[in-house]
Amino acid sequence: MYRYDEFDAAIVRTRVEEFRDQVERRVSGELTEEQFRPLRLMNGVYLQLHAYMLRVAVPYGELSSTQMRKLAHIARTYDKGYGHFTTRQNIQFNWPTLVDIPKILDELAEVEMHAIQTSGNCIRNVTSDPYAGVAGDEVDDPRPWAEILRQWSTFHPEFTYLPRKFKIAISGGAEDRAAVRFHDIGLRVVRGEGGDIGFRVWVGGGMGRTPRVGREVRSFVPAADLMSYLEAILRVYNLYGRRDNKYKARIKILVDELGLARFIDEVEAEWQKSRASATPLPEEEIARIRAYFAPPPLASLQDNPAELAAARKADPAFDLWIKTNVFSHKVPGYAAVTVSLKPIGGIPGDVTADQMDMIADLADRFSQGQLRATKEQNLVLPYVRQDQLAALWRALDMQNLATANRGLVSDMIACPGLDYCALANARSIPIAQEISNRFADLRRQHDIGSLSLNISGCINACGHHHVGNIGILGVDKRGEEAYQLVLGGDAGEGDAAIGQITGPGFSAEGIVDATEKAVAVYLANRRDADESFIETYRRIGMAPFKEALYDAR
Amino acid sequence: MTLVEITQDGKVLTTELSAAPEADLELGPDADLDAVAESLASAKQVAVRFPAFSDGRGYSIARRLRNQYGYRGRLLAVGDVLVDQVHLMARVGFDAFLLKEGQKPEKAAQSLARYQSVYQASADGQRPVWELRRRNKAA
Amino acid sequence: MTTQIVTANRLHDGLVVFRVGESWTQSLSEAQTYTPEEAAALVARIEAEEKTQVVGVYAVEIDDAKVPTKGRERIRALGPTVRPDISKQVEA
Repeated sequence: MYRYDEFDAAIVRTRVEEFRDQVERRVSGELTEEQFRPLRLMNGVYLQLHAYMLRVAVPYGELSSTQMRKLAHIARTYDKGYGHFTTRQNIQFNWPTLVDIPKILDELAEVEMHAIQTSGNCIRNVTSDPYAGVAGDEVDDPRPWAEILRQWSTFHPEFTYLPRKFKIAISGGAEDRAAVRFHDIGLRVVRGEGGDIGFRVWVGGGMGRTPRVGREVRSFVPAADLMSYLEAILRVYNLYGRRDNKYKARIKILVDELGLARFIDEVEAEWQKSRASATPLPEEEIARIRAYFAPPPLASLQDNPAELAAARKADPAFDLWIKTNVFSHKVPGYAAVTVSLKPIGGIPGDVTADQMDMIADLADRFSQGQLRATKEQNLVLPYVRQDQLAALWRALDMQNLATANRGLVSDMIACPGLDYCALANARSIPIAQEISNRFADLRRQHDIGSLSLNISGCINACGHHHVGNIGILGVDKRGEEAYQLVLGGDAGEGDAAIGQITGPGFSAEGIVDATEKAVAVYLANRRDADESFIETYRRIGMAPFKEALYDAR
Repeated sequence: MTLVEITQDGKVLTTELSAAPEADLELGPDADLDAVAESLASAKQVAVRFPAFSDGRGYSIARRLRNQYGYRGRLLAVGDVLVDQVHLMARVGFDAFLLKEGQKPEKAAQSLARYQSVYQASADGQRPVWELRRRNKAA
Repeated sequence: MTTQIVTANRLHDGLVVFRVGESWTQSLSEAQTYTPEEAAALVARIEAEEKTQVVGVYAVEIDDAKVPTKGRERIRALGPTVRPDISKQVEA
């Protein structure tokens, strides 16, 4: 993984001192809350329902065991002993005090971490594929490009006071595992006609109150032009994006209002004018950064060793876990393992400090000290030997981290909702817990198969309800929590789709029944066990679901 | 009111003024630069107004003035100009800042001096760390 | 006639506090009650005078048991419903 050099380290240290000064000026009254708010947000500090919340960046989801131990230490020392992994591959602490945050940032800097641009109207932490460097279908590893984007976007002087937040995602595989068409800018690494590396670019995707699938603005941008092209997009957005209404300020609305053709014309014209003065991307720098992402030294092994086959045969629970939580590795004899942060009835994405320490130890023992955070709010151990999978599984199981449910109905995405969030209209976590308990039987979940279920506690859609195969949106109905059901969403680039609302909403109890009914309609209609929920939905449409949900009432 | 300037040799000067400095041209955040291109050619002092510190259009206007319109005169930030933003403004090409009432000039100077290393090429001529790394390696 | 309490988040640690006399408490049961007119005047005075003490001052309607009538305010006053171990939900 990437390691800071003296420049990176100095920039992060300087940021901590700058923020310490800003906190002191706020406490002394030199800064008003109105002036301080955007400054603290740009450093990941929110004021939530109960307390401040600190969002720590995990750039493109990559974490070392040392960093994980530091997060455990922070949870224990400055918080209430836990943290929450988010859909943007970051981690949030729910209870830090404002005056402790500079100290927390000092501690993070010791392990090359920070909270820079994890909120605010600036370029946010870049997200990517959790299986980067592991997946066999990669055109190129997206992490070096993501790191280049991290550096380029850090304190970008021109784009720190944008009309609204700005999210960039990049994926490098044949399959898009970073939801690139649901970001302000989505990038896929592609090869040009001559075999050279470049990027296909989409703009204006996103969720929130106006969900949009990103629109393609260029099929190929040469690698050396990556930053000059992105600067052209951002300059057009910074100058012409709406600032009169925060709900219309995202770049997707600018693309809507200008029309795609005119938006592209503006960007191309700006690019031609500014290409020469933009940040260059020298070949040596690409090579320097790329070198950090070379695979660790791995043993020469065969796939499917005898130990693995024997262990699978001996323990059906282990076999079930292998089926869902193991992702095939491009290196023979290795596997990438999902550590499920979705125990049955648990809080999606929450991890205790003790679990963090344990996961760090397991990363050292089994995965070259490396970890990834996923947008599904799980963790991945990316370099596990297949002949050690059984030992890893036993160790994870002792910490309640081995639920065999990756990609299944109980592997839910849920935002913190009204239990924590100042913006929420309804609670998300109790709904996730109820649904998880309802589908507690793992055999049943495996029979239902691949299904994404995403829950948001308000229209801002942090729980990605628009792109869940089943989505749930919490709303406030005359002072009561109510929930809408949405079907047919898909986050992947190829099949990207925004879900459709089924009809009238449900109560907190009713939404759990409704979810179960929707699953029952799928089971009754699927051609065979290989046809997934979303495939059946696409084939039979909304009508049979509506009928089951509403006609009997 | 307080004017903070960056001189040709990089020093930071602070002056107390009784009236705002006269600009040859004052541009709002929605200025059409093509329409004023002619007056820019002869201008010595151009002001860009920030109606609110959170309105970042002035940063892109400055960048365009410096990198696309070849403006070389003094570029003055006016309006809701706060000490926590001046270092970013300097990077996009501003070299003078009329601070908002109540802002401390020593804090502005501190902000301008704070970051020694930057990741981007911009309009201030500061070399991004990517160039420095190359030089370090060559040395 | 509705009864209100006055709440805010404390600046230095962000925790939820309730007005009592010229001071603040973290305990909902200790919160002082006001008429809507009194609460509105108090909120305005605190906003003007206590900018370095608290953030986001506002009045909340409560019922006869001195519990906020709105669900959001109940959760805010008592803590996350999904973590009874660290919240004050048990008090309710």
